[in-house]
Amino acid sequence: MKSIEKNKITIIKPSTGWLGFDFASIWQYRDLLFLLVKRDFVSAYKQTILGPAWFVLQPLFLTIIFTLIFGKFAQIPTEGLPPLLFYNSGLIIWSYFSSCFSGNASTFTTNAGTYQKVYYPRLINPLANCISGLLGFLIQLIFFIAYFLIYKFLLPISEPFTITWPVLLLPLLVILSSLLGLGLGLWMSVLTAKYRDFNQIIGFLVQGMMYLTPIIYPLSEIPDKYRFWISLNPMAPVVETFRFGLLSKGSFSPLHLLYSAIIALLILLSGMYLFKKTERRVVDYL
Amino acid sequence: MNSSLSIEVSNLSKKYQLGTIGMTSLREEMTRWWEKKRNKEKSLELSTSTHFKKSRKIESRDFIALDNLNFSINNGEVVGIIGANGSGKSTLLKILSRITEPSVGTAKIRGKVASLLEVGTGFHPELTGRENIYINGAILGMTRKEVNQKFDEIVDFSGVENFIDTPVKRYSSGMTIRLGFAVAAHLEPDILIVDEVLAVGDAAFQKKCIGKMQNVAGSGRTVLFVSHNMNSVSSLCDRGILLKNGSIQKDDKINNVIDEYLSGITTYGSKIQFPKNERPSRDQIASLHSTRMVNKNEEDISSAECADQVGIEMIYEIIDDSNIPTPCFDICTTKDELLFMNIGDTENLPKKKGVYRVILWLPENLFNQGTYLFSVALVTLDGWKIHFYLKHALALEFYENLLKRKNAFEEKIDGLIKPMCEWDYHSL
Repeated sequence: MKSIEKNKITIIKPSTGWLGFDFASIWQYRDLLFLLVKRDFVSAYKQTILGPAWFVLQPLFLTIIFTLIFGKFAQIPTEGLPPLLFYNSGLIIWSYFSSCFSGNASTFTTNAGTYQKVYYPRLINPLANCISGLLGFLIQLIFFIAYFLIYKFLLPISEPFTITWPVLLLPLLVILSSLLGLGLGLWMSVLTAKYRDFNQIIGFLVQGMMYLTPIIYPLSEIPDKYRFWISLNPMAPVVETFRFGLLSKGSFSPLHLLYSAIIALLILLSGMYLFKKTERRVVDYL
Repeated sequence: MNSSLSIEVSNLSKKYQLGTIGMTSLREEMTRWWEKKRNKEKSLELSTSTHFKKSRKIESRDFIALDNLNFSINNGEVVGIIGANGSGKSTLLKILSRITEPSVGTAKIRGKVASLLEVGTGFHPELTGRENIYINGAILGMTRKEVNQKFDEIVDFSGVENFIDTPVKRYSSGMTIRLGFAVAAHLEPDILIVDEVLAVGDAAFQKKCIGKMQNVAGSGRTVLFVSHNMNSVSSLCDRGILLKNGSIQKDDKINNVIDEYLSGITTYGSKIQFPKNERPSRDQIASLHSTRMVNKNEEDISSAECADQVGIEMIYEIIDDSNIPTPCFDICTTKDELLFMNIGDTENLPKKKGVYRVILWLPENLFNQGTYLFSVALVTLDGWKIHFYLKHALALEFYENLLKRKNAFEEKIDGLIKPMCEWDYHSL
């Protein structure tokens, strides 16, 4: 092994055209990937009193705010579900997606200092981001199940809800959100590296996209003539299926999911291409 | 690529675009893109051209940082890269360490490369020293297993044992740098690329770093070293590459390269040769042909180690043998403080018409670090008739190899001169 590496010749030359991703070198740096995930996780809540509890408290607070504003004041129906479960289910999958998206949007600008001094496959950073977001998602999912059980058995309400078989698609839904978030994040990282204007836009973009996703409202409440446009949003079927699997409310359409998967792959591949193209020159204009 | 080569660089060039990036350059990019679309043929010309200057596509807003470099480095060579600021040293290192890519040309590299363009890259202030050692090691290309094996050595070398579980944000800047260097020093690459990192830390730590680098260099690994500190460059490297405005000006033994570099930056030269009708002479009795500083092999030099023997050579002509001219030299500091002068011995002194060469050998271990100015004169002592006198004709830079000091003091020792003296301790 050592002698193979020793004789490995690296050729440095201007890149031209489509270059395949060097997955071998990402594998070589797998320890770095692991350590970065650990770093993100460990450092996120250092010097806080509640520490990792924030992983759970943050979406819980947001859920409570949504319950008050959209449930109580705006009285948007929640398909007969307890508002907390309704909003929380949409939020946890959405916030995983949005952390992959906005977290990666500034890959080049946040790591500029390191990128100017050391070479390693730059894709490691976005990948680490997606994986460490996954840990937060899993914690939130466990707490969702806890809320679910509390509502199901301790606070019985008229409208019944239960887990349905599409819950088996949950891993697929998570992968879809992460690939879509990663793809969009890579696109944005390329744009923000060159034009900082996009740093300003990213916040609106994520928020705008959230309102176009059935999180604070069920898709069934959308008038038919607009429903087509909402379902163009590749995250819409993901959130709907996620909710359908966990709470038996929402919709499940394999065709829409397939559509999401195709869009996610297209965005991801084009994002990776742009990212690859950018990473080799980016230090010249960071 | 030949198997004895470690690095092979051919036709390597790098240009940067000047100017800010923003809306104006977005517009420019559009224009460029449009032009490129229209003149496909012309842009092909750019990609086939290996040399920028030949290409007409180069625009005034581009800055050429590296211009057609060609060199190769053998396995185990320790090469110093020197040059003034902006000469392209850092750009070259960045390309070789794959941080940025060249615009034209290729560089082939055999084996694992570790580049230390900075120490402590990627340190996270909230994490402890221990956690940062692992992350920094991984960023530099070590696996966790390798870090585990060397962990104790790294901590030991850094000297921060007591703080290893403290967040790095509580470290002093010196501690951070020491920890960063300690990690880097325990990499085991085939090629090590180092940029100026030795310029940080206190003197004792610097010495430790140089020692460590010498170990690396001695263990048969290829080292590329960039520094402005000629002492460390000359003590570490065998070969030097001098860059000037992005091109290689000299590629030779390290001391020759350092001499060339220093002679380029001092206003005084270490060699003067006069054309036939400009030879200095006050009275046409004798004239000066040339004068230069030499080492003990009588070769040109522009700098010397304090411990080296150096001489001042003068070639002069006796035009009229009615006088008996004697060569004289004086030596002063750059502030024009006279240190001493020396008048030629009468024994073997040439008295007839003709061209003569004389060398005044200066004692070794006499000069301190720094530049000295040498004046040359030819005088007939009887009546003190000066035939020519060239004040501050030559300059010579002395540098000291700190590793040759016999004590732990690391800084320049004050004084106009620094003669070697003997210490005799007695116990009573």
